[in-house]
Amino acid sequence: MSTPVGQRGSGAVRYAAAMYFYREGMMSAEMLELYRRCCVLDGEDPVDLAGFEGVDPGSAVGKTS
Amino acid sequence: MAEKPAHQKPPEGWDRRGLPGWCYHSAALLELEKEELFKTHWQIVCHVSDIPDPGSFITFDLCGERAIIIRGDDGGVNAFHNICRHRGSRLVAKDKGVCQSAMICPFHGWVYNLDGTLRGPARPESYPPMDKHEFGLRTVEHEVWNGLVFIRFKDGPQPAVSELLGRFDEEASAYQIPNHVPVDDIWTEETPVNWKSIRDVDNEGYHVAMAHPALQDLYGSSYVDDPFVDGVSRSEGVLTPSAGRRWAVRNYKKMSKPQPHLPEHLHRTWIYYGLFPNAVIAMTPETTLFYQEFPISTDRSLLRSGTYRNPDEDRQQRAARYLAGRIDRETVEEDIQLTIWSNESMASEFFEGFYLSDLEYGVRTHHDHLRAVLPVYAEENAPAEDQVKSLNLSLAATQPNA
Repeated sequence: MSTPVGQRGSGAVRYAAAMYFYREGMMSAEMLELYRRCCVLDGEDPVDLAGFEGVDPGSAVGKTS
Repeated sequence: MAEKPAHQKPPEGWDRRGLPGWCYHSAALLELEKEELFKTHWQIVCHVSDIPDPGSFITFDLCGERAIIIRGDDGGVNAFHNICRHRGSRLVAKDKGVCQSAMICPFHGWVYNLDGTLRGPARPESYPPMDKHEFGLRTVEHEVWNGLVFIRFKDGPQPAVSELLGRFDEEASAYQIPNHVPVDDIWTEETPVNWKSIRDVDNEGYHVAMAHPALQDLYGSSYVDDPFVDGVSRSEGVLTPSAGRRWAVRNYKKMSKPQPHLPEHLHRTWIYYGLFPNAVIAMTPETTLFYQEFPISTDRSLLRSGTYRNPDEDRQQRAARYLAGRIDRETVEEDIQLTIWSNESMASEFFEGFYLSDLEYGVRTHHDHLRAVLPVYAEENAPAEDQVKSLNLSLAATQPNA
């Protein structure tokens, strides 16, 4: 989850980790979906996107940058 | 020290004919070959050093099937169908690379662990609970022999690779192939011939003196072929003591020096193991390589090869390896032309078929192996295309071991 935003392949790494946290009950489906959308957008921070779209990132596991 | 195997001579009165010409341009036969030869026989995918770290992968397409070979978190080699369990999308699109911790389908975003189990589907709240094993990637049978990774898409007549190549274990292990590292990426090239024309050229050394001046200069008349027996063949050439007349050969002979891990009789020997139906593993003191061909259509094939070297080499050994590669590339280019000439004869009404030399017995034994799998190859005249499959079935039913 802490892989730096902008690093090549980091979007996929974050989404794969988010899937783990979702499965463990530590992340909402809504937040997981933002990680999916950012999977191929290495420069997009899902937590920032959550703020932009008004999604409660409270259940996100840490900020990614 | 491994004892050198005795070279086998062809039996008296052997049938010197090759396969009938129709076998080289029948689309119906090609479909049988895909199903009964390529999917059911072991195929070399890569060397373990092509996938060095957890998440390193290489993909492999063959006759409409696709596989991913990926290093697991535990360091083991895993092989899966490269097919997402959701909609069947190609899960990993690149030829090679690294999946950091998981494989993610580019279509909808299903996520799989490196052991193939499902980490989770995209939008998991839209599904009932899913078992990670039940919805995990389907495995492909695989085996590692001397550092080379083999897969088989469907169960077939061959035994385990370790058994198939077992008679070469002692000799091959001397090369310490599992420690080798890639020289370059895996090479591929399309060529406009039926795949069997490539094998027909490669399965004999009779043409070397005429068509491969560099190889002739390298090992000359010392070259010998042992035919296919139980799915494997062996050939070798020992470097001749002459200085070499050609630049690359002359300098290779000068630069190649005894590798301390090899027994003396392998210090100046090039060895080739043929693996039925479509591959060769070759070893020189400096390198190990595999090459193979796959059908694309009746008149197009894909050549594929990987080359690996000793992990520690000094400048002289590196130079020798470069020169060996140069000799090899020259040989490949010459062979590609020979396969084109051989293949086009199969479409001629006036070519009456092979009449093989004792020095081409390897071609015959390869064809014998083909006929054992698909007896329809023995039909001298082309059956109707829509009869090839059924005729093969009926011929197979009458074989002694049917």
